[in-house]
Amino acid sequence: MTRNVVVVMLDTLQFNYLGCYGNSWIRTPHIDRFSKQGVLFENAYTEGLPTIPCRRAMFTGRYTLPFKGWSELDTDDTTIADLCWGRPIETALIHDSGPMRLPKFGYARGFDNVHFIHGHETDHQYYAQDKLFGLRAEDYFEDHVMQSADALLGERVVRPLLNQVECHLKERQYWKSDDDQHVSKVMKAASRYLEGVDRNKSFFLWVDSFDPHEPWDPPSVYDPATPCPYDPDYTGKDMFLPIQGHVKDLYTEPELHHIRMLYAEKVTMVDKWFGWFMDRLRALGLEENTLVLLVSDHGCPMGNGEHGHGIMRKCRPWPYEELAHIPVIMRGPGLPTGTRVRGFVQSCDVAPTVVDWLGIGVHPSMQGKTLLPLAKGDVETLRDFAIAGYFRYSWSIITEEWSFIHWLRDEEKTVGDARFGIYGRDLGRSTAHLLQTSKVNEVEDRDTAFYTRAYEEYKKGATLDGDDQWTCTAASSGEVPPRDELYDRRTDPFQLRNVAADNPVIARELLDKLSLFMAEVRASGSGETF
Amino acid sequence: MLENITVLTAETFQSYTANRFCLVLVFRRQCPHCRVLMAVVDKCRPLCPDLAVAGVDADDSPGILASTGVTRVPTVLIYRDGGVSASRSGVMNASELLALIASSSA
Repeated sequence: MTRNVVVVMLDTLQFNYLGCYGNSWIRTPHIDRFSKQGVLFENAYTEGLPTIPCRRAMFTGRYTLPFKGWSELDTDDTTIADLCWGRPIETALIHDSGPMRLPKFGYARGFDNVHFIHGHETDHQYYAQDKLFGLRAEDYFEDHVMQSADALLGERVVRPLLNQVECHLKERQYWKSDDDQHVSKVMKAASRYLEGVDRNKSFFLWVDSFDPHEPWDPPSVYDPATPCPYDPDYTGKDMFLPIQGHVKDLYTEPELHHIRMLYAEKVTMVDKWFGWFMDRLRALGLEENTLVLLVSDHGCPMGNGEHGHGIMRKCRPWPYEELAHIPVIMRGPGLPTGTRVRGFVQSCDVAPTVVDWLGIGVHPSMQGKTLLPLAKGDVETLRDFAIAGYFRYSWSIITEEWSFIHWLRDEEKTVGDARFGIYGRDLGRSTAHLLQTSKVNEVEDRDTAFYTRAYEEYKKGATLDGDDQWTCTAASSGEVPPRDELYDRRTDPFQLRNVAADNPVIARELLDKLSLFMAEVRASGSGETF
Repeated sequence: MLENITVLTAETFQSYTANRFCLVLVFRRQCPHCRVLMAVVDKCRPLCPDLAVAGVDADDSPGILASTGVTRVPTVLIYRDGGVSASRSGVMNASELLALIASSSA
């Protein structure tokens, strides 16, 4: 019998918003049932954050954190689809993930079938030239936010974001129910692919739904008959694409709460469509020979404290729990059911698991581990710790007892600089062609500003990527840097009370362990099997 | 790994590097990056049989650091004909180190 794999990536699915990961008030019955049919990994972490480094790790089975951030797939990267070439395995990518198809990024490389659905964030300019009828972007931001954001954040953010929201509204103005949402379109396209797949061959299908990533515009935002189930009495504006930045003085607590409730509503909606897709898989008779992996790339900061350490959305390179901890659930014939595994899992384990299941065997370049022995209970753990972080900015180590964050810079500059460092700095080469041709009626938004700045810095040959993170000064004391942070995972899982000063020996041990591991990964090369 | 290389001192550094094609690794014993780079150097040694390999302990020999201008560890210095012909700081993989060694003859 052929063996198949379906990976369902649900972008920005925060683990603690799911019932099976302990949430008691958000309805996610389909993912919860899926977890009872398979194996749930309680301690899964994305190593390189956010979207793009995570995809690179999941596709290649390699750590990215020492090497690459938000940048194109390289020829040195060997992906699952590359490994399926020349074998009786058909490959398909069905997605609406704008970042994966940024110019020259090439993350669809090697897939036999690629179906992309336009319009989600990062691809919103697809609708920029359409006409907008009766809707206004200003109706989705509180007046005080629009009046104060530029001054509070120290940069011009309001107008570009209004432009982006208009793009979303130009698409969304025709929506009537959740049936029109992106996740619905992605799952239906995935179902259509399965209906026509050749049963005599194996297949590897990667379904990548950008929902529940922002904009958080579930039906309650545009359907007057559908109140937000988690905040039905709210009377303020639905800020479904909130401005990125520090939330202090920018949002009130009720506003932040409502933003999170819109996200929760979207999670419930995504759960419904995931359940719909699983029903289709079952109806098509594919359950008995198909491994299904449900994964996400990260969560999202959405406010103060455990909700986001004081920021809204991924505007700082902070690898805290609400961002780095991800859901990973696996179901397949012959695997245990209703099992929960505590052993650490990393995003780079996805590729080895897929190729192991397909019978290709784990490629020697892969640094992640196949999860199949862990799922079956053949081994209790694959590693003693997990890592997480942002390329050039932060490294984190997570053990059973502790989490420790090492900052690669003494300080961060503005939110604008941090966002550019995360998302824009490595775009210079891949987006240069956009700046070399004029575009009629271009609409300015955050992304176009990134491209311009990246191109200017690319021309100058400027880079932040020095060797400092891989060295120490000859005179350094061996003390843990004062900015580094230590948290007790048993009593403080969301990292709110830094206890580094009270536990200097533990902090030092974790920093050494983290530095050694990162150096070993760095020395293992970028794709080489030397 | 340290036992596999000659550790140079202020007394031996000059004469060792004067007439040899050699790699000098400036390190600190407690530095995890240095430990990893030492392993990479070991990995490459069989591929460079003509290359002598030595080390300088940054804590024991601050004078060598001052005279060579090295401020960060690990740092690799490649000597040819008595002078530094290539150098680089930080962790490298084997391919990068071999490329650095090759560049020293350019």
